[in-house]
Amino acid sequence: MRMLRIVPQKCTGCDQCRLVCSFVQTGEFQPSHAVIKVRSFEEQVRFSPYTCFQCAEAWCMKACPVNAITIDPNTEARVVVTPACLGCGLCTIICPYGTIYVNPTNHKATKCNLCHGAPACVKTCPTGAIEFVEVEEPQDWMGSWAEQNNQPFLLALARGDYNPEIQKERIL
Amino acid sequence: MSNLRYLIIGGGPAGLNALETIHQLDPTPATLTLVSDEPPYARMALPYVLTGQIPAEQAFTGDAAYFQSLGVTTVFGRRAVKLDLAAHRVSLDDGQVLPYDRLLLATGSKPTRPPISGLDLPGVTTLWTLDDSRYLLRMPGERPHVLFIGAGFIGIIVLSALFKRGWQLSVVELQDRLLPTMLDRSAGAIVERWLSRKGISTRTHIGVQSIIQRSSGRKQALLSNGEALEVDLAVVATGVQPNRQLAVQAGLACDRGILVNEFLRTSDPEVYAAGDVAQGPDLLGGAPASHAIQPTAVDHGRVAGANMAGRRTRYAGSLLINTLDIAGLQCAGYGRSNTAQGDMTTAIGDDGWSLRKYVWEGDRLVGVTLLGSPEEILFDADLGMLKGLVQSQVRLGAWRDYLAKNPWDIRRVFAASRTAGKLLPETLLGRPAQPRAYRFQGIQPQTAPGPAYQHFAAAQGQGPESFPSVIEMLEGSKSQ
Amino acid sequence: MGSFLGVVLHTDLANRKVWREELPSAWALKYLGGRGINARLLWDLAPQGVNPLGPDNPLILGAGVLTGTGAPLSGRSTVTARSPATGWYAKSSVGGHVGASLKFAGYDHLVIHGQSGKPVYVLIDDDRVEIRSAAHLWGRDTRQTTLQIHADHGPEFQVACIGPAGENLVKFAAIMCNIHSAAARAGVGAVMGSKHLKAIAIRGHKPVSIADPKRFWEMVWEARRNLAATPSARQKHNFGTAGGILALNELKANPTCNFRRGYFPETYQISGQRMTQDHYTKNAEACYSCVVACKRHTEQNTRDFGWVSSGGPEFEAVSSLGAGTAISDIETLLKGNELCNILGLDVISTGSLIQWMMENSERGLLTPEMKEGLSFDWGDSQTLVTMVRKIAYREGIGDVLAEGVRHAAGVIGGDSWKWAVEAKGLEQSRVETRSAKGYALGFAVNPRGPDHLHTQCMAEFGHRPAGVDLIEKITGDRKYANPYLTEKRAEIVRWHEDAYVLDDGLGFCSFATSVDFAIMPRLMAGFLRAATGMEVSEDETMSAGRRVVTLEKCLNVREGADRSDDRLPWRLMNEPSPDRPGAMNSKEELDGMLDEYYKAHGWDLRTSRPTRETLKALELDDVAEQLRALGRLPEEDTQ
Repeated sequence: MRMLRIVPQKCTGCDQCRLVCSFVQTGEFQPSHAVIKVRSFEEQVRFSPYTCFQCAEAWCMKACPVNAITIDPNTEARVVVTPACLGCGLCTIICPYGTIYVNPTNHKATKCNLCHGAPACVKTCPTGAIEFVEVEEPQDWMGSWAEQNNQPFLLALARGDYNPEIQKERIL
Repeated sequence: MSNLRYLIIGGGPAGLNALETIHQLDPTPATLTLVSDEPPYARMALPYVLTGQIPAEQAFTGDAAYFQSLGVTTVFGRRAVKLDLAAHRVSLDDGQVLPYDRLLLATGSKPTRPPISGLDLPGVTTLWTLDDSRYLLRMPGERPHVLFIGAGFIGIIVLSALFKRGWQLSVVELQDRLLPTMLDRSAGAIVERWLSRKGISTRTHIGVQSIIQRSSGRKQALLSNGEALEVDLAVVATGVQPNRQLAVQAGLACDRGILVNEFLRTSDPEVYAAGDVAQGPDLLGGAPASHAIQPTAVDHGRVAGANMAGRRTRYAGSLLINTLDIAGLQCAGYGRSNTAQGDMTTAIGDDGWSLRKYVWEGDRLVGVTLLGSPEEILFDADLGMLKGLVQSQVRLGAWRDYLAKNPWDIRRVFAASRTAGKLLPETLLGRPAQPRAYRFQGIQPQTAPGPAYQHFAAAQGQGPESFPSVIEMLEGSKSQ
Repeated sequence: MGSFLGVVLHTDLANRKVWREELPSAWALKYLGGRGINARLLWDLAPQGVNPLGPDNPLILGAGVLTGTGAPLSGRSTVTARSPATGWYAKSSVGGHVGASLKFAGYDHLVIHGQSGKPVYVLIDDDRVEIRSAAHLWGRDTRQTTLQIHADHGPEFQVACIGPAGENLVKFAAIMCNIHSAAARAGVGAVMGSKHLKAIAIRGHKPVSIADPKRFWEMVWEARRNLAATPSARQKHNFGTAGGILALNELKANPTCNFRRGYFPETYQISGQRMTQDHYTKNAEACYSCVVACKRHTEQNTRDFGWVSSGGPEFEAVSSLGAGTAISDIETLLKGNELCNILGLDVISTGSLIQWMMENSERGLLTPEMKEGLSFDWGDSQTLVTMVRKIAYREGIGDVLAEGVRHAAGVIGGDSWKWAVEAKGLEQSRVETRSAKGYALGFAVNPRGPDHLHTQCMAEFGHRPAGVDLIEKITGDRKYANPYLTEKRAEIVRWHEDAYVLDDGLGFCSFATSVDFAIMPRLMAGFLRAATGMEVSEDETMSAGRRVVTLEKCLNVREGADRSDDRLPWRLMNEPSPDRPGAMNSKEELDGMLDEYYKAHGWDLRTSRPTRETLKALELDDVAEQLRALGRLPEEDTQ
């Protein structure tokens, strides 16, 4: 199945993906309502996008009490059938990756649907940090990178680098 | 083609998911029969019927064509009254006797009846069934005053639905806090403060002793503190109990519910149980648990169905998860969220309403409570990630302290914990999940993006619109 | 009106009041938003003679009209106030995400009035705006402050804060946005410190709309194709802005040792190319919506300073902290840059002060008491790293340097003022203006002081075909693409000034216009039309640019500026660069260019001040009236 593969080391934090994702859904730029999100690591110098893995277990789909989430026959994406959605939020709490949401404006569940086969975030990403490729199974694209890119940060935390009393003495 | 006669008692999500799973694995059995005292509908949709958001018809989870496509013989409007384990038969209330090779008891639960006199008066009702919803919707008057007896999960959901209709509302709860199975006292206090701000009166640690009917037709509820409340309607929401009568009479092993093992099988090898009526493995370990929530019913049904159809499938256990709107304040809980003591961190947000509570066992997350605006909880807050952390029981190491000190920064912790990597390969049934076949009015998903997308994509040209990431240069010349 | 929200958020720290103001939609065209409206707000809100470190100096943050849309490179914002360093106009440009978050919260501009008695921070979360105690934050560096606010409120907030330098009213203290994006110059950080305002935290969930999506996206893809085809854009992505220092060095125009030399032999060691090739650079980072990503994330477990991680160092940092001080050890520069970020200091001025002190030491002007054990030798890492801290904390001689080089020269005494590379009280940025006459003119007339963030007329170098085309368009002849010529500089500078206002008003990065020639005024005017629905031509936007340039000049005229303030540092006007024989910004040469420049603007040649006629033509009648009442209009000046 073709799905989004994230290459976190290439992300520059430009937010084009969120800008464009929110735009193609609503006609306005509202990144807080994009269904792809970007998180910063280190302290504000590394970034990675993340969104629905289109996972095999499709937790959201199985959770929906009225079957308002299904598999798109063309893309195999797990998609919300918006008119049937109640907005109960069950999908939001059951997805163990935190990538489906209820939009507070229209009270409908919303998630990445791969833009019906031509994902906008992929088109816009200037560095290729998001790819639309054939993969056997989705993977934890961000996991090992996030682990590496937080080690120095955790070490610095542990060393007290962010502790004001210690920091002032340490600056040469 | 199998010779098996499958019999499912109960048309809720447990029963229907079992049905579909059996059909997928054994498409041409001898018989596949579903008995349900009501035509199957989603109880979770009822609050939306109450608010008027959807018509009652939209709550149904199947129609004749759907059941026919699954090869199901339906027996609706009938109740099972006797189970004969030795003879492999179930008797219905109209005298029908249905034989089985594999039986699933998915009889669900029903509201408890507290020891209050006056529960049978007109205008005193539970809110459990579609008929109950229709009853409530026929309430006369512009703004009836409704008393909620019990502030559990169901009660508060219904209360929020009626709040949207603008009705006058009061709540009386016997325990020392609202939503006692989800919240501890500090979270409960925030909810009380919120409801009070919304004009909803709440009383905790107080019970209703009796209800009488006044000549005006209104009800008067006498409270344990001596107060008398005059209302138009009382909704009894003191919890639910499993419909386990059939199992008890037949001699199956029961606790509060029908006990099932990791294959969702009861003490009888041909009888399975699933959903609210069953008491099975708890994902967080410990004694068998009764998690009377939709997702558990779904997964129970799927696993039971798979095992019934001969595909041996082990169930790791259910996790208690809940979310509800409380008159505009969103609440969510996972696992052991209502713990009063132990290793916990609670943070209250700068607005006075947001709350994050994390319950730890060593460096593992075992319980979560969240309160906040609907936008925050359902959109911003990476709610599902917390469920992922609890579900995977991943050891967080140094990130445990980080999350305790930075309770709003979940993404970093989730990513670094590599939880996604642990969970992605897991499926409940050892294969990709399938969508259900029935949807109200057969509504299909959109097939093409909207006009905004067209504007965005139309102008994209042929030539290069970006250059390669510097990472390619860095990775190409890796020296370290 | 589309992506121009027309809303100013006002906060008064003294009275703890918060209120919103709706701007006339006509202002979007008249002043172009962002920097332009900031300037207008400063004119209206700050009384003449306002004390820059007093309660009446407003601190204004403005996002661009296109900020918050998907227009590429539209994420820039402006911070405006009266400068405590110079007493003149302070406009500081910043990238990062702070302007976008302000737009998503529902505001184009934020004005901070007054002073709080105790440390506070302002929290903006859509409509919820609070002034909260910052007692627990005061004293912390920018990294700690940002992390603490994220811990308390959530990681989505963009945090613009000051470090110890701003708290200590260092004259070149910076406001750091999410730690590594700096609103650095002219002491805006000190203004914030004088208000006891430790931080502004902004988060927004609202939409930003556009009027004509079809046209908008057509231009987005056109801009992206332009950038993708531009080698200089790609170079910035690969090597950062510090990738440009090598070419400058080849031209012998790489300011070295306090502008005494133009060539630094070890330039490669501190270049962006080296940082990438030796993996000090871990990734490229972008301002909001930018597809080039010229910012750096550098990180290293260093020999002497442990683990160092920061955004940058940029061109100005390696030039000012490195070539300027003759330090070629990249790890020292990483540490120096990180310190400037976390302590909240303008890297240009900081490096400028330190290299000036090194020259003072070489010339025997420093006593052991002043040196406090540091060598102040050219190339000494220890001196650099220690002095950054001492300046931020005003320790020892740092207390003198924290006042800026003009004041410090008065204290050190002797001839040290001659090699204080400043004008208007602001340390010059890292351009060798002796061999770039257009830049020289632009630096001399920049209302905040001699730097390139007013006129970036790189086209005059004639290195790129697009640049030469531009020179031809402006002057009529390609031969003027020659930085040694003084002819036609006035026109070249004027065009670039106007275009820069367009950049800053709409939120576009000036690199895209003046350096990469990829998003030019024609395209920017198109974006403005498509985003707001306004009917506006390219010429009208450039006229609006002219208006803002003149208004900014008037802000200085109001404080008594005249022609004598439009000059360059003494060294550049009196000592030729030894690596570029004969190249100098002599007074005679500068005067010739200034005459043409003032004439082109319609400003009085003798005083440099805009005439009433010019102001009326620009629809700045009320400004003219105020200046007249102060006796500052050239026609009224009886001197």
